[in-house]
Parts: sequence; C-alpha cells; structure tokens
Amino acid sequence: MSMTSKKNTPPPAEDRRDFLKRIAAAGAIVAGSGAAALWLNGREVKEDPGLPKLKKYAVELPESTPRMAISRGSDARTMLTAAIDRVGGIHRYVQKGDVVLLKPNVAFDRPPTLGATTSPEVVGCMVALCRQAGADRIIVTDNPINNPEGSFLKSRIRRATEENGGEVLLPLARHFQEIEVGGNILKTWEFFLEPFLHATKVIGLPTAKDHNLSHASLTMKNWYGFLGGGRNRFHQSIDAVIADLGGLITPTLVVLDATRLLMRNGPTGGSPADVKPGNTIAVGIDQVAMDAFGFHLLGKDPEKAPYLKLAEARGLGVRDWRSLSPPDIQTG
Amino acid sequence: MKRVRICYQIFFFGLFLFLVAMTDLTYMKGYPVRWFLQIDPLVALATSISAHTLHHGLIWCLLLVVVTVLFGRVFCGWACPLGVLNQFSSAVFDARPPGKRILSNRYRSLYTLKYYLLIILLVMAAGRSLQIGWLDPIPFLTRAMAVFVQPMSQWLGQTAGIDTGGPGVAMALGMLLMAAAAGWLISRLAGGKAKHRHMVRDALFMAALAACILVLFTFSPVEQRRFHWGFWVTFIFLAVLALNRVLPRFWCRALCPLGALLGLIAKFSLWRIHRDPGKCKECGLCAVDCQGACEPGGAFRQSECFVCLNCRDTCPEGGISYRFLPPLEGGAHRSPDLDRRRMIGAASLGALFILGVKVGGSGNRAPRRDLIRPPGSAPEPEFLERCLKCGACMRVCPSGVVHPALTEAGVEGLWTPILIFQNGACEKECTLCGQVCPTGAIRTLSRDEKVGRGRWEGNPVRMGTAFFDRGRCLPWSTGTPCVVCQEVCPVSPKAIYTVATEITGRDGSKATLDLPHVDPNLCIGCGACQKDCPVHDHRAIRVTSVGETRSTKNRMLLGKPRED
Repeated sequence: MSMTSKKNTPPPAEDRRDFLKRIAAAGAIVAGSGAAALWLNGREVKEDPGLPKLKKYAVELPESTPRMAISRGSDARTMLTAAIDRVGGIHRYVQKGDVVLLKPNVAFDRPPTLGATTSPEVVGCMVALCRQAGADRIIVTDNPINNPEGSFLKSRIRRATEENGGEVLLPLARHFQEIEVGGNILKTWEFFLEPFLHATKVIGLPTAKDHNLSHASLTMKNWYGFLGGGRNRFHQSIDAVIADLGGLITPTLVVLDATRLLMRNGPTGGSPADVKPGNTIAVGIDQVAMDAFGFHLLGKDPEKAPYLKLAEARGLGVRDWRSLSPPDIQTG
Repeated sequence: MKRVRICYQIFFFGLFLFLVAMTDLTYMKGYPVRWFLQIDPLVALATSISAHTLHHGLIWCLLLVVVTVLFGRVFCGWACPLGVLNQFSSAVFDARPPGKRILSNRYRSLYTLKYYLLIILLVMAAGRSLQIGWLDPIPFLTRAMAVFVQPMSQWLGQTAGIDTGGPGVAMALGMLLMAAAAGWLISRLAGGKAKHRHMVRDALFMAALAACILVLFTFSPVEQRRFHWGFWVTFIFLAVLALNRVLPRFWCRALCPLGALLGLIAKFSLWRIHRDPGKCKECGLCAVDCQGACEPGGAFRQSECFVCLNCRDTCPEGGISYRFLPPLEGGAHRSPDLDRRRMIGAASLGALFILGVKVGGSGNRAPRRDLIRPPGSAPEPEFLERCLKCGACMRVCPSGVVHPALTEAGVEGLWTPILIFQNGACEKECTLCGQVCPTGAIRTLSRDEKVGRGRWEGNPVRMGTAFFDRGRCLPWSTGTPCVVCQEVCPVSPKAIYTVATEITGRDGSKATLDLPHVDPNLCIGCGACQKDCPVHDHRAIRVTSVGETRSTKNRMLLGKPRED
C-alpha cells in the first residue's frame, strides 16, 4: 500500500520565492546574533547598591519610666499586663495601625511542657495585647532549628497566635537576604528580612532556658531565629555572635517568659524533669539587664557569660539589673 | 456515558491527589490517606504471599474484588489515577486519525506481557522479596507524586513566589488558563492539523497536571524537598506517560500487573459487553475509542476490557450493550491467552531473581552502615517482605529525611525508604511514617514508645548510633570551639557530652576546650547532630546503622550487667 502511493518525481527546482526566504532567514540570524553580541559585549557588573540595614525599633520613653519590670504569679495574662503597665503600658509601645513583629522562641519541634519553646499562653496574651492596642497585623515568626511546621504546631504557638488574631509566618528560602550586620564578628549575614519589610514594631518574646554553650538562651540569643545561612558556625565564637545579635536588633520591647524554666539539658531539653516552674515574666528594653536577670532566675552566674560583658561594653545595656531598680510585682 | 465516566475519573483522580496532599504533618488529621493503597488487591495478595499475613486495612481490597467480579475491570477505566493520566496522555500524544486509531486499538499478543510480569512479581513475593511496587500503579503513582510531582510543584510555586497556605484564586485561574493554552499548543505540535475536540481533551489533561502542581504546592512544607536520586523515579514516570505515544494506554494494556490481576478476576464478571451479531455491520467503529483493546467488534476479550463503554457509544447501529450475563458469542475470550511455556518461563525468571538477590547482592545479610531505616521499621528481611516502595513515608516526613534508596538497600531494596541525615533529622516526637505505611513495614509507634517513656522507659527506638570523625571535628582536629552537635541533641540527658580538655596550640600555648563525645547508651541515631554539623560536605559526626532497635544482630554493645 505504501509502495504504490509514492511516485518517483524529481525534486522541484528552487524558485525565486524560496531563495529570497532563505536569504532573509540567514540575514535575520546573522543580524540577530550580531545585535545580541553587541548588546552583551562589554556589559559590566552593576555597581553594588550596598546591603540593606535594619532600622531601630525602639520608642521614646520618658526618663521616669523604668527600663525593666518584673512580675510574679501564676496567671500569664495578669503577670504580663501588670509588668507592661509598669513600663508605660502597651499603648506606649504599640499604636493603632502598627504592624508588630513578635519573635518567640520556636526553635524546636517540641511540646510546651519540655520548656524548649516560649509558652503558648504568653505568646497568645502578647498577641491579644497588641491587638487591643490597635495593631493592624501581628506577625509571629521564627526560623526554627527543626522543621518549621512541626515546631509551630507542636509548641502550640501557631494555635495561640491564630486564636488571638495574629498570623504565623513560616520562613521560606526567598524570605532571606544578605544584610549588613556590622558586628564584631558578623559583618554581613543572611537574614530573615521578609517580616521586617512590613513591621513597624519588633517585640522579642524569648523563654528562659539553659544552653550548652552560652550557659543560657535568653533575650539576645533569641534573635538567632532571625538569621539564616550557616548558623552552625556561630558556635565557634558564640559570645561575640550573641553580642552582635544584641547590637543588630534594637527592639521596641522585650518580654522574657520565665513562667517555666528549662534548668538543664538546654537548649533542647527533652524531659519534663529538666523543667521547673518559674512563675515570672520580665519586660523591658534593656536586653543586657534582662539577660542578667535571666541568669539569676536560672541560678547561674552571669560572670561566666562573656557575651554579657561584651554587650555591656558596647553600650547595649547594664549587667547589674538591680541598678535599674525594676518594679517587682506580686500578682495573684 | 463517556461524560459520566470522565466525571468518575476526575473524581477518583482528585481524591487520590487530595489524599496525597493530605499526607502531611499539618493536614493529616485522620484522613484515610492510605485508602488507595489499601483497596489495591495486588498489594494485599502479594504482601500476604511474601509476609504470610494480611496487614490490617488491606482487607479493604475485597471491595475492589467484588466490584470487579460484578462489573469487570471498571477500576482501570473509571477509577485508577494512573489510568487517568495514561488515558489523557494517550489522547495528547496520540492524535491519530480515526482509521489509524482503529488499528492502534487492535488486540496485540504483546498485551499478555502484563500477566507474565504478574507471575514474575508474585514468584518474587513467594521468595519473600516484595517487588510489586515497581509496577503496581498505586504505589508507582504514589511514589512519583512524593518524589517528583510534589518537589517539582513546590519548586515552581516557590520560584513563582506564591506563599504556602493558599495561593490566590487569580493565581489558580491563571495557572489553569496557562495549562489550557499549553495543551492547545501541544495538540498543535503533536497532531499536525488541530482538531477542536482534541484541544478540549488536551486542555483537560493539562488542567489535571496544573491541578497536581497547585494542590501539591499549596499543601507542601516550606522547606524545598529534594530526594536522593529522585531522577530515576521521575524518568520512569515520564517514560511511562511517553509510552502512550507508541500505543494508547501502553502501560495499562501491556505492563500493569494490577490490571492483569483484575483481568483474571474480570473473567468471572457478571456484567459484560455484548455485541448483537444481527445488528453488527462489521464497520469496526467500535474500536475507534476503545481503551482496553478488547476487540468488542470481534472476538471480545473480557479480561482486557476496561468497561469504558466507548464502543457502545460509537456503534452507529446501536449493536453493542453492557448487560448482565449476556449470551457468550463463539470465539469470545473469557480469559487471557496465556502460553504455558511462557508462564513457566516467567516463574523461572522470578525464581532466578530470588536466587540472585538472596545469594549475591542482597542487603539483608551483613548490616550496611548507610542502611538506616525509619523508626519502627521491621527487621530487614521482614521489611523487604512488606515494603511497597510507595514513598508515602517520604511524602509525609516533615523533616524530609526519608529518601528512596538507590543501592543502599541492595537490589531488592531499590526505592525503599532510608534516612539520609545530610539535610534532615528524625524528629524525636514524630511517628508519622509509621502512621502512613500501608503494609506495616514501618510499624505505627506511639510517641511514648518511640521516645522511651512510660512502659518503654529507657528503651527508646534507636535508628543507629552517632560517631565522631575526630579527624574532621572542629574541636578535636583544629582546636576550634563548636559542639553544635551537643546543642541540637534532642535526648535528655544529652547523648553528646563534653569534657573540658587542655590542648596545646601551635605556638605551645595552653588552652582549655570542650571536646565532644557520644554516649552510645543514650544515642538514638536521630541524626540531629549530623544534620547540623558545620563541616558540611562530609560531616564530622555521622550516624551509622549499628545499634538499631530493629536488628538483634547489628549491635555493638553488650550492655551493663545487672547489679546483684
């Protein structure tokens, strides 16, 4: 069947139209590649516009307002509200229309009872307070060591956030960008910049816990969760890195959740036996004093932590937290 | 009828996709994500041959057996998700004119191949090596979704900058439109002269693919998944789709062992296609859209028929019906034409495979250091009797630490799950892989049992043991402080401890440094230390399989004597 359908006809001679088409195509290829080459030739690398830098998020405070306040008790909401009232009240820090970035410690995929992550009650109360103060959006985020979904789910921080009108932002690769850190050891680093593009206020919400290397993980160490890249290199000079983190972020407010304390086996914990009730919340703007107070709560000697000295020397705060004479309130 | 069938196909494909999407930490919440694997009678048959037990849940396959006994291979034509993809891609790739289609839908002796493949695979199962997952369409597609479609969707979505947790409706519509446009373009390129009805079909196919991408992206974890040698899974999946260019539904007609098993059952089906010889003018139009190549217009082959009912619709005389126990025509084939010699040959091939892998090349004799199985895995021989290589554990693992083995588990263990700690670690409180495993190759553990609490106090599930490579470890080899491994170690007390040791520097200066050590009695082999070790290319602390709970032989410690 196929044999009969084919006829032996000589190929037709090339006519003028075909010839012109070919010439045109060849010309277009030569002209196109020439133009492309000319366009690409000598293109220089554009001048570096410089890396982005972080803003400072602190608000003006009257001289009379204490730089730190402590409250003790059993109910997170009462404790938190009482402490914040002593440092000027939430309206001093969060105003109508603000986009608040809340940074709890959600580093691990662990239930709250293990004390490795900020207590969900405290996160929930803080979100609710910001909401009451009129904040437009409350973004709760962290770049966990473990899987992000699991960490936010099992620490119950996702639920606490969403129930109180906040939103959880999970870190995606494209949320990170190299920024100017300008520290003593961290010059530039890959940073979780996405939430900072929207935020007008930044509030740290760490939990007080033991740390295998820096003795304790408190307010300054908590900013670790805003960094990306090879964070596992920080440990080679942990004190310098923590001081750099303290210098990098100038928060609006810091809340130290010491409702329970991870006393040993930190920063991961792993057994409820490592955790003891702390019944304390501290708020303030002096990260160094808050960290020194955290050492006190964990029963550790702040003299052993070189990072506190480095941070004090840089003018980030005072190590002698008692010198700030923080109000110490007993609630319920 | 065709429209009704397509609605069913879209429903079942959508259900499959939905369940794959829900196979995820954040969404699982009790959805029966294993359902498609559980109704697959080949899974039930082969695992009961290899493991001598019917894992609970697999009894669901009776549903499909009963449906097939009643109606024939309706699963192939109406429900199989891989069948849907094959049917649509046949339509896209095979834009033949009707005359040619009648030829390409003729029965060929090649189509008995699937029965011989089924024999080979079942003989392998009898030799206690479960290999059906290679070709059984449900594990095959589950694996392709987990290892290829999901990571690809995720990559496309994140590159396009769509946030997880719900892309906008506009974005979804945009992608569907783009898919339809691409379908139209492909039909132009593949078919020469475009036919409008093809365009609609192709648009549907592309929309199905776009739906995969969208759904799987939307329900993806935030961390980009990359699977160990996922290339081969991808390549084979795409090759199976491309085979539809050679002959329509090539896989379903010639290769699918589940189709073969259902074909053998369909031999007894009560409803079947019937041609009325009084009306038939032998025009051959019944074969123009025939899916199964079952020759409804000639010597009808009951075991090949997918019950697509296209023959009924295309017969201009109305001479074809689908009826309850119609009279059997002379020459009709109720069972497949199987050649006894070839059957013996196929069985011998299966037996030879068993001989080959059990004598030389199996992973289950000497323990392999890189063969680290998910927590709750059965001992290696039992594991190979049960694992379908379906990849559900790889899909569900929130830390992306479960990967398809290439050579690590031996020939038999191709694509079985192994843990690779370079980019992930087994989360201490997570037991999802055991929850999704359809055959019990990975047991469903309680969290207490995995972690070693309560009844299991002091006996957590161990996957292996971590060892320092002191020649690469920063404190040990370079005098640099580090111990990230200790920080991330999730057990309490930590399995990694440090000893303050005096070291002498290059210039003779003395300094004290924390040098890390592993306590093998506490290490559970989760890989957290290895994952976060800063010596990136070849980690200075690495987990090997020794000490794994599942093996009584792969042990190194004798244990401590009881104190009298």
